Order: sequence, then structure tokens, then C-alpha cells
Amino acid sequence: MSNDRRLVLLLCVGALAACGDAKTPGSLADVNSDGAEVDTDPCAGRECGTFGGRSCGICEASAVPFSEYDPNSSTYCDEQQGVCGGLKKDCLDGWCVVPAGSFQAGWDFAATEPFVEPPPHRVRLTRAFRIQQTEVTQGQWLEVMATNPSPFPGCGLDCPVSGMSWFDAIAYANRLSERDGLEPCYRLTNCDAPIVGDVLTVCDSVELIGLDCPGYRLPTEYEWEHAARAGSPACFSNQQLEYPPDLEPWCTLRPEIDPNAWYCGNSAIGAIVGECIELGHTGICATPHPVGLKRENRFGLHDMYGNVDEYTTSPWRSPSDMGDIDHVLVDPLAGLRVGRKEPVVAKGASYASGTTATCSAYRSPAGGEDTSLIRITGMTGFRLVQTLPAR
Amino acid sequence: MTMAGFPSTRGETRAGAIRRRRCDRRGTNVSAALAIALITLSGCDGVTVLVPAAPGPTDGAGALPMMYVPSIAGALEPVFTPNGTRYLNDHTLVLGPDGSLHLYGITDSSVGAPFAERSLLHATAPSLYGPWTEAADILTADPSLNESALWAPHVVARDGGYWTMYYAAGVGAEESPQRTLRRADSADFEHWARAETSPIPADRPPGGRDPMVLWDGARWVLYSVGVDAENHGQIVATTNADLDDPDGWSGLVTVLTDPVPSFVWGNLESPFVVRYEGWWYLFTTRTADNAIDYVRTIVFRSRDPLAFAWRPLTELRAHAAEVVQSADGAWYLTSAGWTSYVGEANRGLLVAPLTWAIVTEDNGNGRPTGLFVGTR
Repeated sequence: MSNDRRLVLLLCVGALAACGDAKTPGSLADVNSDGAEVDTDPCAGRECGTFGGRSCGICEASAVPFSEYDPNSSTYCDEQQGVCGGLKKDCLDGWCVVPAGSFQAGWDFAATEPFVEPPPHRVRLTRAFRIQQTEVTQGQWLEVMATNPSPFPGCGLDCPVSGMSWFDAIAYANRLSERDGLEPCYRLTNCDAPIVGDVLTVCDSVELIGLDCPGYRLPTEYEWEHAARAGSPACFSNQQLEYPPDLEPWCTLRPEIDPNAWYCGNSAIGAIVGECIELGHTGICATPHPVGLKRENRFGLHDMYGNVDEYTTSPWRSPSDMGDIDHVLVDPLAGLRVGRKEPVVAKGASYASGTTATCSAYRSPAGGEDTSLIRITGMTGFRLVQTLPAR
Repeated sequence: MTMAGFPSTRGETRAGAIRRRRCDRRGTNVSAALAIALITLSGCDGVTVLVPAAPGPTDGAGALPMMYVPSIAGALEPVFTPNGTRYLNDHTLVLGPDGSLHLYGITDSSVGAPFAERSLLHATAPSLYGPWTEAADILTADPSLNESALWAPHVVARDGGYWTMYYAAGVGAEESPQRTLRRADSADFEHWARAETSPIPADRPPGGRDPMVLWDGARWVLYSVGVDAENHGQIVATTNADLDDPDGWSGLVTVLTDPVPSFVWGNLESPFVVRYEGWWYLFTTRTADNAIDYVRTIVFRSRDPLAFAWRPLTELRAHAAEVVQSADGAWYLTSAGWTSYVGEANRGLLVAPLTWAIVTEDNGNGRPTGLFVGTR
């Protein structure tokens, strides 16, 4: 590579749009001061991303049978460097960095049966963020809100907090922001109950002031999915597991899943009699478990699958309303405002979920004004994110 | 299931079958010898109407309106376990002219695989609590009819000594079938002949699954389930004065809509409607992809069998629940489901006594306050 070409590459990395705008459409070469032709192909040396207005490819994981999936292959593209993969663990004080970039979201199952997950599609997130390494625990909630709404107090302070409404989780995020001297990310309007942590709160509306807000917030559903996948196109980011069609679903104890998630196949283990919930009519009684006991993913995150569902900040949309998935979705959010009757997206599945729900793409509706079961089943918790300043 | 007067224990009446004959618009053929008093107190939906159009109980002073709320009054007991590893899911019960009970339902040998459910199970018993004997399956998905799966049968008795079954079929690609409603008829409970066509409005989205048929006093109502364009689970219905009139079906009406959107295939399932004390009670499974919510049956009530507001009265821990009443007036709730979510010990048909609890009604909003007053 000549020095001139390297310079062009560096300029493009620093100013992608300018690189593209300056380029004559269709031109792949310029002439340097010596009159020699210089290759200015914006995609030269790049594996993926969009440079100079050109698509330089996408990162595709190995399209091989399920059992042969290569866990080291990645659909993640560092859109600034134009390289695939390279994700790593970067955690400090219970928070882990998730870089900006693009990845493959969605679920192959949707191709055969119309679930509420869209089929595989590309998503680009332009903001890096940090995310809590585990679900917010009962102890963390207690410290900020002074109460513990969990229906599973016997599980302990290291267990994920649940039993709170989505609005309560929003209030927690704001209160933590205020405590740390940060501008809260949400504006709450006309809440039914004072947000004291021991009353299920429902509000007329919640407005997210923007993804660049400095405080803490819930992740968008795609931020969550990016964090969970860590580049993996498979259900789990930390194991070469995809669900083959002949996999028996539901509460079967699967050795592939057990190291990764608390789900209905293993969540009865160690459950405390008296505060556990029967799984169907099985006679098996289950609860969430202390966070961090299951295998971490490439970002260092635990319990992205199972234990408790996790609220996101994204209003619920059906797959047909999620945008044109034939093209790359950029920072999809689905709206900044959530009304009291609107459900939001929950991700990650819970201790009561079956095998097929413990998957990065899995999503379910949560939130809204119907809080009747929240304190009973305690299936939904959350973890927070914070947008990182642009590099 | 539409049945009343079936024997919950040995040696009871055939009133349920008799009543259905009276309800069939194709003619009346009531046996005078068996036209006992119960008939006049019975609705064609298959449940005994004890006090038709009654306004509901009060506390005596009239200060607090009260309402009946169904409640499980005992343990769900397994009464029938299919052979091998087969499970029973959505099911229907019907009373034969000899007093025997017939059970039909979804089945497969796995722990739960909806697209592998290709035949409909059949079992018989002298009473609800058994002993049950499994018979040969009655229908198997017929590739020549484009069927890949058979689901959710519901049987009604017809005038002339035969029975009509509506069931859901998966048609088309095995892993992504479309849902449709189909019909079969039988005169002996064992041999079922598919109707040549099923020109039913619910025979396509937003209906197309989990049919349930009742006579509401003036017409047949065929319920099924589906979703609207925003993925809100729905129960829909169409009506017909004559089940055999293919042109008699009304347009599809929405009976109930879940305010929370969910699965593309609809999270409201297994609608079952009974009449009690002048109210129509709708039981529906509000399912989810987790083992806890799998056994959530939500109950609504309305004066109009075609319109229920989303004001749940109560929740019962049952899946694909059906409500039945024995000849002695006792009520029962059934439940069945995938082995993975009900466990091996509860594989098959579960039955529990059902009572109608009298509770105070929250003023004006149609919901119970939870203040228990008594039972009936």
C-alpha cells in the first residue's frame, strides 16, 4: 500500500461523509502530484461498512449447519474501521462497553413461522454505550429506592429485582442519574402513584429526551440485542447454539442452554419453597437466581438470557412496523414517547421461559397500565445503559 | 364443549343430548318420555340456565351490586392419561346417547410440538372422572386435502342422531401452515366424515383457530381466534341460523380484543362461552411463551355473547379450559396441555370442581372487588 493510499484511508475513517461526497461517482482512481494513478477505492482494505457512499460489504457468519456454526465468526462490523469482528470485553465496576457498529438482528424462525421477531436483517447503531454487566439487583434497587418490590426477597439482594412496573424502572434510572449528578433521561407525566418504589406506578406518558442524554436509561431493543449477540447470529452469543428444527422446545433441560441461562428447564434448582412460582401444572416451583452465575458473553455480560425478562425503552411494534428491514436500519428506536396504554419491548426471556425464548432475537410485550401480575410472577427486570461520548 | 346433564358419576341422565335436539333448527325431535323438567331450564349452549336473565345477586339491602365469578373449588385432578407419551391439548367433551362421554383432542407423542399434531385423539368414559378408555384416533391430517396438522376440535350434537365437529387445520407448508376451520360429521363418534367444503367466514384470518360453537337461543355462534393487523389477540365470531346453510353465515364480528399486542398467531386461545344467571361468560387462555402464563385462563362476562369488553373477572390456572355441568348441577373445569408445561403427572385431561363465587361488584366498572360473599 502506498503512503498516499494510506492517507486516503485515514481521511475516510475520520470523515466518512466527506470522503464519499468528494469522490466522483464511479471513479475508483485519482492521480497524485507525480502524475501516477492512485487507487482511491474507498472499500480497499475494508471488509465491511459504508465508505465513500459505497457499501463495502457486510460481515457474514458462517452459513453452515447449526452444529457446525463457528462461534468465532461474527456479523458485527466496526463501521469506522471497516473491519468485521474484533469485539472484546471491556468492563469496569459492573459496566461493560458495547461499541457502535452494525450487526445482524432477527431470527431465522420467522422465515417459517410468523413470530413477533422479524427475519434476519442488518442494524447499525451509531452510538457506543455502556451497559450493566448484570440485571439490576434487589440490593441495587433497595439502595436507590429504599424498598424492595421483588416477590422473591428470599432469593437475596444479589438476585435481579422484579415486581416493578416499567414506569418504576424508568423512575429508578432517573433517580440514579440524579444521584450521580447527571441529567435524567426521562420526563414522566401524570403518574398515578408517587414513585417511592413500593407502589406500582403508571404514568400518562414517559418521554425519552434522546439517545444522547447523559444520564442512565433503558436500552433500546436493538441496543439490547447488540449487547446480547456480541456479533453472533445464533441464539446465544456465548455458545455455538442455534435451534435446530428437531430440538424439543419448552422446559427440557438442555446441556447447551444450562450454562447460559436460568430458564424453565433449570430454574427450579435451588428455588425457595414458599416464594417460588409453579411452572404450568408441572408441580415444579421456580424463581430467579442470583445474577452473574451463568456464563458471560463476549462483552462480559451475564444473564442476557433468562433469569428475568428485561424492559427496554422501545415502544412495542410488530415486525411489519419495524421499518424496511430489506435495508440497514440505523439507530431504530420506534419513538421517544410511551403512553400509559402502550406496551414496550421486553427482551431476554425469564426463569419461566421455554427454550425457544432464550434467544437474542426473542422479544415480548411488557409494560403498559396492566400491572396486575407484576408482583405475582416477578418475571421482568431490567438493566441500564448510558450512551458514551462520541470518539 | 357443549354438554349438560352428562354424568359426572355413574348412572345419570341424558339431558344434554336431549336439549341439543330441541335447539337444532332443522327440526325438533324431543323424546317426550325423556323431556324432563331440566330441559325447560336449559340453554342450547349446553349449560343449565338456572335463572334465565336474572339480574344477579344483591347483598339484600341493594347497596352493593354483586356478581358471580367462576372459581376453581378443588384440585385439578388427572382423570385421563393418553397411551405412551402422547399428550392431550385443546379438547372437547360430548355426551353420547348411551350416557357415555367422548373426549376428542389434539395430540402428539413429544412434549409439545404443534406442527406435529396430525391426528385427533378419542377416548370414552362412563363419567367425567373415568375410567377413560382410549380409542382409535378419529381423524388424521390428509395431505390430499392440504392438511398438515389438526387442532382444537369442538363437537355439537345435531338433530337426527349425529354430531358435527369443527376443528382447525394447518394447511400448506408443514413448518408454516395457514390456519383454517373445517368440519366433519359423525353418527357413531368413531367415524367422522369431512364436509366437502367449509365456507365459513372464520375460515381464514383473523379467525381460523380454536373453534367453539353454541346455540345462543336464536342462532348458532361459531367462535374462533386470531389477531388484528397490530397483533392484538382477538376472539371473533360468525353466526348462522342453520349450521348446514353454507350461505347463512354472518360477517365476522370481533367479540374480544386483547389491549396488549402479542404473538403474530394470537395470544388468546381456546374460547369457551357458557351462560350463567343471565350472563354470558367467556373463558379464554391468554397464553405466552413461558410456563407460568401457559396456564392462564381469563374470564369475562357480558349480556351479549358477541361483545365482551376487556374487563377480566378473574384468572383460573388452566389451559384450554372447558366448562361442563353434570346432571346434578355440579360444575367442572377441564384443563390440558403440552407435557412440557403440565408435567408427566398431569399429561392428559385434568378436571376440577368449579363454583360460582358471589362477590361484590366494583361500582360501575363491571369488575369484582374481590370481596367474597358466598358461593352458589
